[in-house]
Amino acid sequence: MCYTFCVKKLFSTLCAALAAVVCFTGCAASGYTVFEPTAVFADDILFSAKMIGGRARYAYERMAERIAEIDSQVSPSRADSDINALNAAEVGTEVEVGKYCYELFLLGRDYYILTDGAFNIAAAPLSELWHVDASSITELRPGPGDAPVTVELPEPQAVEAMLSGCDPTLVDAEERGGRYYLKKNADVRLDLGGIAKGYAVDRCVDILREYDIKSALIDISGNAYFYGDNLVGGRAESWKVGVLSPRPRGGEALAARGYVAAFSVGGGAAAATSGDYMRYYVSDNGGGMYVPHIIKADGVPVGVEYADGQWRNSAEWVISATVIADGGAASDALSTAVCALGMEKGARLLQKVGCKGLIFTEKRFTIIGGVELYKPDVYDGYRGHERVDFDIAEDAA
Amino acid sequence: MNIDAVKKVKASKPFTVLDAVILAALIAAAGFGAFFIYRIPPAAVSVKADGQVRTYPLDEDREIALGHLTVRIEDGAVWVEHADCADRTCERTGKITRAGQSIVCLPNGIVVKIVGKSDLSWEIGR
Repeated sequence: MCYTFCVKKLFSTLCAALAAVVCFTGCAASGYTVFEPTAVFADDILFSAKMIGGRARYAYERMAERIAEIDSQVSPSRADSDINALNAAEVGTEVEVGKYCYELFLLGRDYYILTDGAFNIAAAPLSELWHVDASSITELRPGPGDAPVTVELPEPQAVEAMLSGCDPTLVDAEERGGRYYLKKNADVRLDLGGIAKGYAVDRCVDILREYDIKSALIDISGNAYFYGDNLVGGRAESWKVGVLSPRPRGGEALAARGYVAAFSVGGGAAAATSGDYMRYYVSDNGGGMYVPHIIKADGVPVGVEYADGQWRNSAEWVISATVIADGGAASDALSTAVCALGMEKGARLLQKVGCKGLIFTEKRFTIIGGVELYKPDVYDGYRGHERVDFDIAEDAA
Repeated sequence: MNIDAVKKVKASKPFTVLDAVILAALIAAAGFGAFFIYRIPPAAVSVKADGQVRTYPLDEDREIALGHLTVRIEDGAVWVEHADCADRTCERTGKITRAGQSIVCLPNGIVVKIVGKSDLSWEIGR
Protein backbone atom coordinates (compact mmCIF):
# COMPACT_ATOMS: atom_id res chain seq x y z
CA MET A 1 0.00 0.00 0.00
CA CYS A 2 2.83 2.29 0.86
CA TYR A 3 4.40 1.38 -2.46
CA THR A 4 1.36 2.36 -4.50
CA PHE A 5 0.96 5.47 -2.40
CA CYS A 6 4.52 6.53 -3.10
CA VAL A 7 4.19 5.84 -6.81
CA LYS A 8 1.05 7.93 -6.94
CA LYS A 9 2.79 10.74 -5.13
CA LEU A 10 5.84 10.42 -7.32
CA PHE A 11 3.59 10.49 -10.36
CA SER A 12 1.85 13.66 -9.25
CA THR A 13 5.18 15.33 -8.46
CA LEU A 14 6.40 14.38 -11.91
CA CYS A 15 3.28 15.77 -13.52
CA ALA A 16 3.60 19.03 -11.67
CA ALA A 17 7.25 19.38 -12.60
CA LEU A 18 6.55 18.45 -16.21
CA ALA A 19 3.83 21.06 -16.35
CA ALA A 20 6.37 23.57 -15.05
CA VAL A 21 8.85 22.57 -17.77
CA VAL A 22 6.21 22.85 -20.49
CA CYS A 23 5.07 26.21 -19.20
CA PHE A 24 8.60 27.57 -18.90
CA THR A 25 9.60 26.53 -22.37
CA GLY A 26 6.46 26.06 -24.45
CA CYS A 27 4.89 29.42 -23.63
CA ALA A 28 8.17 31.16 -24.30
CA ALA A 29 8.28 30.57 -28.06
CA SER A 30 7.19 33.71 -29.90
CA GLY A 31 4.67 31.84 -32.02
CA TYR A 32 4.46 34.40 -34.82
CA THR A 33 4.54 33.07 -38.33
CA VAL A 34 6.74 35.60 -40.10
CA PHE A 35 6.40 36.32 -43.83
CA GLU A 36 9.43 37.94 -45.43
CA PRO A 37 8.96 41.17 -47.41
CA THR A 38 7.68 40.60 -50.93
CA ALA A 39 7.14 43.12 -53.70
CA VAL A 40 3.56 44.27 -54.29
CA PHE A 41 2.16 47.08 -56.46
CA ALA A 42 5.56 48.25 -57.72
CA ASP A 43 9.09 46.87 -57.31
CA ASP A 44 9.97 49.15 -54.43
CA ILE A 45 6.79 48.52 -52.43
CA LEU A 46 7.15 45.70 -49.93
CA PHE A 47 4.50 43.71 -48.10
CA SER A 48 5.49 42.14 -44.77
CA ALA A 49 3.38 40.33 -42.22
CA LYS A 50 3.56 38.27 -39.06
CA MET A 51 0.63 36.48 -37.49
CA ILE A 52 -0.41 34.26 -34.60
CA GLY A 53 -3.47 32.02 -34.51
CA GLY A 54 -5.99 31.02 -37.13
CA ARG A 55 -4.75 29.88 -40.49
CA ALA A 56 -1.86 32.25 -40.99
CA ARG A 57 -0.52 30.86 -44.26
CA TYR A 58 -3.92 30.85 -45.95
CA ALA A 59 -4.58 34.35 -44.64
CA TYR A 60 -1.25 35.51 -46.06
CA GLU A 61 -2.01 34.01 -49.47
CA ARG A 62 -5.45 35.63 -49.51
CA MET A 63 -3.88 38.98 -48.61
CA ALA A 64 -1.33 38.73 -51.39
CA GLU A 65 -4.17 37.93 -53.83
CA ARG A 66 -6.26 40.84 -52.63
CA ILE A 67 -3.35 43.26 -52.91
CA ALA A 68 -2.77 42.04 -56.47
CA GLU A 69 -6.46 42.58 -57.21
CA ILE A 70 -6.31 46.15 -55.91
CA ASP A 71 -3.14 46.71 -57.94
CA SER A 72 -4.80 45.46 -61.13
CA GLN A 73 -7.46 48.14 -60.69
CA VAL A 74 -5.40 51.16 -59.66
CA SER A 75 -1.83 50.60 -60.89
CA PRO A 76 -0.58 53.62 -62.85
CA SER A 77 2.03 51.46 -64.61
CA ARG A 78 -0.41 48.85 -65.96
CA ALA A 79 -1.94 49.83 -69.24
CA ASP A 80 -5.06 47.76 -68.53
CA SER A 81 -5.80 49.11 -65.03
CA ASP A 82 -9.19 50.72 -64.38
CA ILE A 83 -7.56 53.98 -63.35
CA ASN A 84 -5.64 54.20 -66.63
CA ALA A 85 -8.85 53.47 -68.54
CA LEU A 86 -10.46 56.41 -66.73
CA ASN A 87 -7.45 58.68 -67.28
CA ALA A 88 -7.43 57.83 -70.98
CA ALA A 89 -11.21 58.19 -71.41
CA GLU A 90 -12.87 61.17 -73.12
CA VAL A 91 -14.33 63.81 -70.81
CA GLY A 92 -17.98 62.99 -70.11
CA THR A 93 -17.62 59.27 -70.83
CA GLU A 94 -18.62 56.92 -68.04
CA VAL A 95 -16.04 54.25 -67.23
CA GLU A 96 -16.86 51.12 -65.29
CA VAL A 97 -14.26 50.42 -62.60
CA GLY A 98 -13.72 47.76 -59.98
CA LYS A 99 -14.98 48.05 -56.43
CA TYR A 100 -11.54 48.76 -54.97
CA CYS A 101 -10.82 51.49 -57.49
CA TYR A 102 -14.23 53.01 -56.80
CA GLU A 103 -13.82 52.94 -53.01
CA LEU A 104 -10.32 54.36 -53.30
CA PHE A 105 -11.61 57.21 -55.43
CA LEU A 106 -14.35 58.02 -52.90
CA LEU A 107 -11.84 57.95 -50.03
CA GLY A 108 -9.38 60.08 -51.96
CA ARG A 109 -12.04 62.62 -52.81
CA ASP A 110 -13.22 62.71 -49.17
CA TYR A 111 -9.67 63.38 -47.94
CA TYR A 112 -9.22 66.06 -50.61
CA ILE A 113 -12.28 67.85 -49.24
CA LEU A 114 -11.42 67.20 -45.58
CA THR A 115 -7.88 68.55 -45.99
CA ASP A 116 -8.79 71.53 -48.21
CA GLY A 117 -6.80 70.09 -51.08
CA ALA A 118 -3.68 69.22 -49.07
CA PHE A 119 -4.22 65.55 -49.96
CA ASN A 120 -4.86 65.44 -53.68
CA ILE A 121 -5.38 62.32 -55.82
CA ALA A 122 -5.59 64.55 -58.92
CA ALA A 123 -2.17 66.20 -58.59
CA ALA A 124 -0.33 63.99 -61.13
CA PRO A 125 0.17 66.79 -63.71
CA LEU A 126 1.71 69.00 -61.00
CA SER A 127 4.01 66.17 -59.86
CA GLU A 128 5.25 65.88 -63.44
CA LEU A 129 5.65 69.64 -63.78
CA TRP A 130 7.93 69.56 -60.73
CA HIS A 131 9.68 66.30 -61.79
CA VAL A 132 8.57 64.62 -58.55
CA ASP A 133 6.46 61.88 -60.18
CA ALA A 134 7.61 58.32 -59.44
CA SER A 135 9.76 57.83 -62.55
CA SER A 136 11.41 61.29 -62.50
CA ILE A 137 12.28 61.10 -58.82
CA THR A 138 13.85 57.66 -59.23
CA GLU A 139 16.15 59.23 -61.78
CA LEU A 140 16.81 62.52 -59.98
CA ARG A 141 17.15 61.49 -56.34
CA PRO A 142 20.72 61.82 -55.22
CA GLY A 143 23.02 58.95 -54.41
CA PRO A 144 25.89 59.42 -51.96
CA GLY A 145 27.98 62.44 -52.89
CA ASP A 146 25.91 63.37 -55.94
CA ALA A 147 25.90 67.04 -57.01
CA PRO A 148 22.62 69.01 -57.30
CA VAL A 149 20.83 68.45 -60.60
CA THR A 150 19.84 70.96 -63.24
CA VAL A 151 16.11 70.73 -63.94
CA GLU A 152 13.64 73.10 -65.47
CA LEU A 153 11.53 74.62 -62.68
CA PRO A 154 8.06 75.85 -63.65
CA GLU A 155 6.96 79.49 -63.76
CA PRO A 156 4.58 80.39 -60.90
CA GLN A 157 1.91 81.21 -63.51
CA ALA A 158 2.22 77.74 -65.01
CA VAL A 159 1.62 76.20 -61.59
CA GLU A 160 -1.39 78.37 -60.98
CA ALA A 161 -2.86 77.65 -64.39
CA MET A 162 -2.56 73.93 -63.84
CA LEU A 163 -4.00 73.97 -60.33
CA SER A 164 -7.70 74.36 -61.12
CA GLY A 165 -7.69 71.23 -63.30
CA CYS A 166 -6.11 69.16 -60.55
CA ASP A 167 -9.35 68.64 -58.69
CA PRO A 168 -10.87 65.21 -57.92
CA THR A 169 -14.32 66.74 -57.33
CA LEU A 170 -14.47 67.15 -61.14
CA VAL A 171 -15.05 63.38 -61.29
CA ASP A 172 -18.51 61.92 -60.64
CA ALA A 173 -19.00 58.55 -58.98
CA GLU A 174 -22.05 56.34 -59.20
CA GLU A 175 -22.98 52.84 -58.08
CA ARG A 176 -25.76 51.15 -60.04
CA GLY A 177 -26.89 47.58 -59.53
CA GLY A 178 -23.67 46.46 -57.90
CA ARG A 179 -21.50 48.02 -60.61
CA TYR A 180 -19.26 51.02 -60.18
CA TYR A 181 -18.83 53.94 -62.54
CA LEU A 182 -16.61 57.03 -62.63
CA LYS A 183 -17.04 59.92 -65.06
CA LYS A 184 -14.69 62.84 -65.67
CA ASN A 185 -16.37 66.22 -66.10
CA ALA A 186 -13.07 67.83 -67.02
CA ASP A 187 -9.67 66.62 -68.14
CA VAL A 188 -8.57 65.28 -64.75
CA ARG A 189 -5.89 62.66 -64.21
CA LEU A 190 -6.13 60.52 -61.06
CA ASP A 191 -3.35 58.79 -59.16
CA LEU A 192 -4.53 56.78 -56.17
CA GLY A 193 -0.98 55.86 -55.09
CA GLY A 194 -1.11 58.20 -52.08
CA ILE A 195 -3.80 56.15 -50.38
CA ALA A 196 -3.73 52.74 -52.09
CA LYS A 197 -1.12 51.21 -49.75
CA GLY A 198 -3.03 52.22 -46.62
CA TYR A 199 -6.30 51.07 -48.18
CA ALA A 200 -4.73 47.72 -49.10
CA VAL A 201 -3.66 47.34 -45.47
CA ASP A 202 -7.29 47.81 -44.40
CA ARG A 203 -8.47 45.17 -46.85
CA CYS A 204 -5.80 42.80 -45.44
CA VAL A 205 -7.20 43.46 -41.97
CA ASP A 206 -10.61 42.25 -43.24
CA ILE A 207 -8.89 38.96 -44.07
CA LEU A 208 -7.29 38.72 -40.61
CA ARG A 209 -10.81 38.80 -39.18
CA GLU A 210 -12.09 36.17 -41.62
CA TYR A 211 -9.27 33.79 -40.74
CA ASP A 212 -9.50 34.17 -36.95
CA ILE A 213 -6.01 35.56 -36.57
CA LYS A 214 -5.35 36.47 -32.93
CA SER A 215 -2.48 38.88 -33.33
CA ALA A 216 -0.79 40.28 -36.39
CA LEU A 217 1.39 43.00 -37.82
CA ILE A 218 0.83 43.97 -41.45
CA ASP A 219 3.04 46.44 -43.29
CA ILE A 220 2.97 47.70 -46.85
CA SER A 221 6.02 49.93 -47.26
CA GLY A 222 5.69 51.87 -44.04
CA ASN A 223 1.90 51.62 -43.72
CA ALA A 224 1.65 49.43 -40.64
CA TYR A 225 -1.37 47.93 -38.94
CA PHE A 226 -1.24 46.44 -35.44
CA TYR A 227 -3.90 43.78 -35.02
CA GLY A 228 -4.73 42.51 -31.54
CA ASP A 229 -2.27 42.49 -28.68
CA ASN A 230 1.44 42.13 -29.30
CA LEU A 231 2.07 38.65 -27.89
CA VAL A 232 5.51 38.42 -26.31
CA GLY A 233 6.20 34.98 -24.83
CA GLY A 234 2.47 34.45 -24.45
CA ARG A 235 1.97 37.75 -22.66
CA ALA A 236 -0.22 40.45 -24.17
CA GLU A 237 1.70 43.69 -24.57
CA SER A 238 1.37 46.89 -26.53
CA TRP A 239 3.22 47.28 -29.83
CA LYS A 240 6.40 49.34 -29.61
CA VAL A 241 7.09 51.20 -32.81
CA GLY A 242 10.23 53.13 -33.68
CA VAL A 243 9.94 56.15 -35.95
CA LEU A 244 13.11 56.52 -37.99
CA SER A 245 14.68 59.95 -37.96
CA PRO A 246 14.17 62.02 -41.11
CA ARG A 247 17.77 63.20 -40.93
CA PRO A 248 20.20 62.74 -42.49
CA ARG A 249 18.11 62.39 -45.63
CA GLY A 250 17.91 59.39 -47.89
CA GLY A 251 18.10 55.63 -47.64
CA GLU A 252 21.88 55.80 -48.08
CA ALA A 253 22.19 57.07 -44.53
CA LEU A 254 19.95 54.55 -42.76
CA ALA A 255 22.61 53.60 -40.20
CA ALA A 256 23.16 57.21 -39.21
CA ARG A 257 19.49 58.00 -38.88
CA GLY A 258 18.48 56.36 -35.62
CA TYR A 259 15.04 56.84 -34.17
CA VAL A 260 13.46 60.24 -33.75
CA ALA A 261 11.00 58.70 -31.28
CA ALA A 262 9.24 55.45 -30.43
CA PHE A 263 5.67 54.99 -29.31
CA SER A 264 3.46 52.33 -27.75
CA VAL A 265 0.16 51.52 -29.35
CA GLY A 266 -2.54 48.96 -28.62
CA GLY A 267 -4.18 46.66 -31.14
CA GLY A 268 -6.56 48.00 -33.77
CA ALA A 269 -4.36 50.89 -34.85
CA ALA A 270 -2.64 51.88 -38.08
CA ALA A 271 0.43 54.08 -38.37
CA ALA A 272 2.21 55.68 -41.30
CA THR A 273 4.96 58.23 -41.72
CA SER A 274 5.40 60.71 -44.56
CA GLY A 275 8.29 63.06 -44.98
CA ASP A 276 10.64 64.97 -47.23
CA TYR A 277 13.65 62.67 -46.92
CA MET A 278 13.15 59.59 -49.10
CA ARG A 279 11.72 60.84 -52.37
CA TYR A 280 13.26 64.19 -53.26
CA TYR A 281 15.93 65.76 -55.41
CA VAL A 282 18.26 68.70 -54.98
CA SER A 283 17.97 71.36 -57.67
CA ASP A 284 21.06 73.47 -58.37
CA ASN A 285 18.76 76.46 -58.30
CA GLY A 286 20.04 79.16 -55.88
CA GLY A 287 22.91 77.03 -54.59
CA GLY A 288 20.88 73.88 -53.88
CA MET A 289 17.16 73.62 -53.23
CA TYR A 290 15.49 70.53 -51.79
CA VAL A 291 12.42 69.46 -53.75
CA PRO A 292 10.41 66.73 -51.95
CA HIS A 293 7.72 64.68 -53.72
CA ILE A 294 4.66 65.91 -51.79
CA ILE A 295 2.75 68.74 -53.50
CA LYS A 296 0.91 71.28 -51.33
CA ALA A 297 -2.58 72.64 -52.03
CA ASP A 298 -0.94 75.64 -53.81
CA GLY A 299 0.60 73.26 -56.39
CA VAL A 300 4.15 73.69 -55.08
CA PRO A 301 6.25 70.97 -53.35
CA VAL A 302 6.52 70.94 -49.56
CA GLY A 303 9.22 73.31 -48.31
CA VAL A 304 9.35 75.30 -51.56
CA GLU A 305 8.11 78.87 -52.01
CA TYR A 306 8.40 81.66 -54.57
CA ALA A 307 10.09 84.84 -53.35
CA ASP A 308 12.12 87.65 -54.94
CA GLY A 309 11.54 86.27 -58.41
CA GLN A 310 12.77 82.74 -57.72
CA TRP A 311 11.95 79.43 -56.10
CA ARG A 312 13.65 78.74 -52.79
CA ASN A 313 13.27 76.58 -49.68
CA SER A 314 11.00 77.96 -46.95
CA ALA A 315 12.35 78.74 -43.48
CA GLU A 316 10.57 75.75 -41.93
CA TRP A 317 8.45 72.85 -43.14
CA VAL A 318 7.30 69.43 -41.95
CA ILE A 319 10.12 66.94 -42.49
CA SER A 320 8.37 63.95 -40.87
CA ALA A 321 4.74 63.34 -39.94
CA THR A 322 3.52 60.14 -38.32
CA VAL A 323 -0.21 59.60 -38.02
CA ILE A 324 -1.76 56.92 -35.84
CA ALA A 325 -5.35 56.26 -36.89
CA ASP A 326 -7.87 53.43 -36.68
CA GLY A 327 -7.30 52.51 -40.31
CA GLY A 328 -4.53 52.32 -42.89
CA ALA A 329 -6.18 54.57 -45.48
CA ALA A 330 -6.63 57.31 -42.88
CA SER A 331 -3.04 57.18 -41.63
CA ASP A 332 -1.70 57.05 -45.21
CA ALA A 333 -3.69 60.05 -46.47
CA LEU A 334 -3.44 62.11 -43.29
CA SER A 335 0.34 61.73 -42.88
CA THR A 336 0.75 63.13 -46.40
CA ALA A 337 -1.79 65.88 -45.71
CA VAL A 338 0.03 66.96 -42.54
CA CYS A 339 3.29 67.36 -44.50
CA ALA A 340 1.46 69.46 -47.07
CA LEU A 341 -0.41 71.57 -44.51
CA GLY A 342 2.54 72.44 -42.28
CA MET A 343 2.91 71.85 -38.57
CA GLU A 344 0.20 74.02 -37.08
CA LYS A 345 -2.54 73.38 -39.66
CA GLY A 346 -1.56 69.72 -39.72
CA ALA A 347 -1.82 69.48 -35.94
CA ARG A 348 -5.24 71.08 -36.04
CA LEU A 349 -6.41 68.68 -38.73
CA LEU A 350 -5.39 65.70 -36.59
CA GLN A 351 -7.18 67.21 -33.60
CA LYS A 352 -10.28 67.71 -35.71
CA VAL A 353 -10.43 64.12 -36.91
CA GLY A 354 -9.35 62.65 -33.56
CA CYS A 355 -6.10 61.04 -34.69
CA LYS A 356 -2.78 60.83 -32.90
CA GLY A 357 0.39 62.14 -34.45
CA LEU A 358 4.03 63.12 -34.18
CA ILE A 359 5.05 66.06 -36.36
CA PHE A 360 8.63 67.25 -36.83
CA THR A 361 10.20 70.21 -38.55
CA GLU A 362 13.96 70.85 -38.42
CA LYS A 363 13.43 73.07 -35.38
CA ARG A 364 10.28 72.00 -33.60
CA PHE A 365 8.07 69.02 -32.92
CA THR A 366 4.57 68.47 -31.66
CA ILE A 367 2.70 65.51 -30.26
CA ILE A 368 -1.01 65.33 -31.04
CA GLY A 369 -3.71 63.34 -29.27
CA GLY A 370 -1.55 61.99 -26.45
CA VAL A 371 0.78 59.59 -28.25
CA GLU A 372 2.34 57.37 -25.62
CA LEU A 373 6.09 57.69 -26.17
CA TYR A 374 8.10 54.54 -25.54
CA LYS A 375 11.43 54.94 -23.74
CA PRO A 376 11.73 58.63 -24.59
CA ASP A 377 15.15 58.68 -22.93
CA VAL A 378 16.46 56.04 -25.37
CA TYR A 379 14.58 56.90 -28.57
CA ASP A 380 15.22 60.61 -28.27
CA GLY A 381 16.09 61.90 -31.71
CA TYR A 382 13.75 64.84 -31.08
CA ARG A 383 16.00 66.23 -28.35
CA GLY A 384 17.20 69.69 -29.15
CA HIS A 385 13.93 70.48 -30.87
CA GLU A 386 11.50 72.91 -29.35
CA ARG A 387 8.27 71.19 -28.32
CA VAL A 388 5.08 73.00 -29.28
CA ASP A 389 1.67 72.17 -27.88
CA PHE A 390 -1.37 73.32 -29.77
CA ASP A 391 -4.49 74.24 -27.89
CA ILE A 392 -7.11 71.58 -28.52
CA ALA A 393 -9.99 73.33 -26.73
CA GLU A 394 -9.75 76.28 -29.09
CA ASP A 395 -10.46 74.08 -32.08
CA ALA A 396 -13.16 72.01 -30.45
CA ALA A 397 -15.26 75.15 -29.93
CA MET B 1 -10.73 1.98 7.38
CA ASN B 2 -8.87 0.86 10.43
CA ILE B 3 -6.90 3.06 12.72
CA ASP B 4 -3.60 1.38 11.76
CA ALA B 5 -3.91 2.44 8.18
CA VAL B 6 -4.62 6.02 9.19
CA LYS B 7 -1.59 5.99 11.47
CA LYS B 8 0.54 4.61 8.65
CA VAL B 9 -0.47 7.40 6.34
CA LYS B 10 0.09 9.97 9.06
CA ALA B 11 3.51 8.51 9.76
CA SER B 12 4.62 8.61 6.11
CA LYS B 13 6.51 11.73 5.29
CA PRO B 14 4.58 13.95 2.88
CA PHE B 15 7.73 15.06 1.16
CA THR B 16 10.59 12.63 0.87
CA VAL B 17 14.19 13.24 -0.07
CA LEU B 18 13.55 11.44 -3.35
CA ASP B 19 10.74 13.88 -4.15
CA ALA B 20 13.04 16.79 -3.43
CA VAL B 21 15.72 15.36 -5.73
CA ILE B 22 13.23 14.76 -8.55
CA LEU B 23 11.73 18.20 -8.13
CA ALA B 24 15.13 19.85 -8.10
CA ALA B 25 16.21 17.93 -11.19
CA LEU B 26 13.07 18.88 -13.09
CA ILE B 27 13.26 22.53 -12.10
CA ALA B 28 16.85 22.51 -13.32
CA ALA B 29 15.68 20.94 -16.59
CA ALA B 30 12.96 23.56 -16.92
CA GLY B 31 15.46 26.30 -16.27
CA PHE B 32 17.81 24.78 -18.82
CA GLY B 33 15.02 24.59 -21.40
CA ALA B 34 13.92 28.13 -20.67
CA PHE B 35 17.51 29.28 -21.07
CA PHE B 36 17.62 27.85 -24.58
CA ILE B 37 14.31 29.38 -25.58
CA TYR B 38 14.76 32.76 -23.94
CA ARG B 39 18.47 32.98 -24.71
CA ILE B 40 19.01 36.18 -26.61
CA PRO B 41 21.57 35.52 -29.31
CA PRO B 42 23.95 38.30 -30.26
CA ALA B 43 22.84 40.16 -33.38
CA ALA B 44 23.50 38.21 -36.55
CA VAL B 45 23.16 38.84 -40.25
CA SER B 46 20.79 36.55 -42.10
CA VAL B 47 21.29 36.41 -45.85
CA LYS B 48 18.65 34.77 -48.02
CA ALA B 49 19.76 34.03 -51.57
CA ASP B 50 18.72 31.30 -54.05
CA GLY B 51 16.10 30.21 -51.54
CA GLN B 52 18.72 29.42 -48.89
CA VAL B 53 19.29 31.32 -45.67
CA ARG B 54 22.77 31.65 -44.20
CA THR B 55 23.58 33.45 -40.98
CA TYR B 56 26.77 35.35 -40.17
CA PRO B 57 27.79 37.12 -36.94
CA LEU B 58 27.41 40.88 -37.10
CA ASP B 59 30.59 41.49 -35.12
CA GLU B 60 32.90 39.71 -37.59
CA ASP B 61 33.97 41.64 -40.68
CA ARG B 62 33.49 39.76 -43.92
CA GLU B 63 32.60 39.99 -47.58
CA ILE B 64 29.91 37.72 -49.01
CA ALA B 65 29.99 37.51 -52.81
CA LEU B 66 26.62 36.41 -54.17
CA GLY B 67 27.23 36.83 -57.88
CA HIS B 68 24.70 39.59 -58.51
CA LEU B 69 25.93 41.63 -55.56
CA THR B 70 28.33 41.66 -52.64
CA VAL B 71 27.22 41.90 -49.01
CA ARG B 72 29.78 43.53 -46.73
CA ILE B 73 29.77 43.24 -42.94
CA GLU B 74 32.12 45.70 -41.27
CA ASP B 75 32.23 47.46 -37.89
CA GLY B 76 28.77 46.23 -36.93
CA ALA B 77 27.18 47.54 -40.13
CA VAL B 78 25.94 45.68 -43.19
CA TRP B 79 25.60 46.99 -46.71
CA VAL B 80 25.41 45.91 -50.32
CA GLU B 81 28.03 46.70 -52.96
CA HIS B 82 28.43 46.06 -56.69
CA ALA B 83 24.79 45.27 -57.46
CA ASP B 84 24.37 44.38 -61.14
CA CYS B 85 20.64 45.17 -61.34
CA ALA B 86 19.24 48.27 -63.02
CA ASP B 87 17.66 50.09 -60.09
CA ARG B 88 20.31 49.30 -57.43
CA THR B 89 17.77 49.98 -54.69
CA CYS B 90 19.70 47.64 -52.40
CA GLU B 91 22.84 49.77 -52.72
CA ARG B 92 20.86 52.92 -52.10
CA THR B 93 19.47 51.44 -48.87
CA GLY B 94 22.96 51.98 -47.50
CA LYS B 95 24.17 50.63 -44.20
CA ILE B 96 21.96 48.85 -41.69
CA THR B 97 23.04 48.36 -38.09
CA ARG B 98 20.02 47.46 -36.01
CA ALA B 99 18.06 44.27 -35.45
CA GLY B 100 14.97 44.17 -37.65
CA GLN B 101 16.46 46.26 -40.43
CA SER B 102 16.78 44.71 -43.85
CA ILE B 103 18.13 45.27 -47.33
CA VAL B 104 16.10 43.74 -50.13
CA CYS B 105 17.25 43.12 -53.69
CA LEU B 106 14.05 42.22 -55.50
CA PRO B 107 15.42 41.52 -58.99
CA ASN B 108 17.70 38.83 -57.54
CA GLY B 109 15.47 37.69 -54.67
CA ILE B 110 18.07 38.48 -52.01
CA VAL B 111 17.09 39.54 -48.48
CA VAL B 112 19.77 40.67 -46.01
CA LYS B 113 18.48 41.13 -42.49
CA ILE B 114 19.89 41.81 -39.05
CA VAL B 115 18.31 39.43 -36.58
CA GLY B 116 18.68 39.60 -32.83
CA LYS B 117 17.60 41.60 -29.87
CA SER B 118 15.50 44.71 -30.31
CA ASP B 119 12.89 45.94 -27.86
CA LEU B 120 10.86 47.49 -30.66
CA SER B 121 8.13 45.50 -32.41
CA TRP B 122 8.43 47.47 -35.66
CA GLU B 123 9.84 50.59 -37.26
CA ILE B 124 8.26 53.02 -39.67
CA GLY B 125 9.54 56.00 -41.62
CA ARG B 126 12.02 54.28 -43.90
